[in-house]
Amino acid sequence: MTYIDHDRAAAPDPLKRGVRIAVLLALLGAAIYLSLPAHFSGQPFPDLAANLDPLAAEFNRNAGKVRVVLITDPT
Amino acid sequence: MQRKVFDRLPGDRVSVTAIWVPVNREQSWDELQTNAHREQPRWLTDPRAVNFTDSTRRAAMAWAPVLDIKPLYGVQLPAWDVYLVFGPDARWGPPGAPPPAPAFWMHQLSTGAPANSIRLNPDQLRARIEAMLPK
Repeated sequence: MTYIDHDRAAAPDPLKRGVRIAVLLALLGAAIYLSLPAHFSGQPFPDLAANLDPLAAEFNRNAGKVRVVLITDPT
Repeated sequence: MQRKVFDRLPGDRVSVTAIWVPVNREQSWDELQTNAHREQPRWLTDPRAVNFTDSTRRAAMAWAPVLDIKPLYGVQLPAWDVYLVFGPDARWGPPGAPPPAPAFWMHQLSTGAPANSIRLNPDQLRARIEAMLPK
């Protein structure tokens, strides 16, 4: 006669459960990391928030050349 | 853009200025700098290029009326995804003056472009720049 331990068969495999938890934690960590604001730490491009004078100066500095100005979104 | 236009226009008779502006979605100063520094080497490797960020869209909004960019639902759209070409004689006026009108420009706008505007064609853009080069 074969004895079947139904309680044990229904119980979750501890290894699979551990893997599931690890995957969930990894996904949670990735979500938190991606939601953090980017922190730029290099040499920044000059920003034109205050006024357009740096751009105007660059434009006039190159007088005598054909000037190409590209305005684009980096995303 | 780099390969089709600027690589074929070597020399110092052309200057290139890139203005990185957040339009598709809001971007903090840090995010805009990060994104611009990520995209610049992919898109514009020209050693002549000078880069600016336009975090408040000041430049993009200043050029909008100059280019006759149309409002959408009563809101003025910025000039972005535009490629402006200025001749050797163009000058920007005194501090505070609006930006000059380009001699020629192209765009990739889906809304707001005036009826007579020209969609970006890199070969045509290069040809127009070549025709304007000082002798």
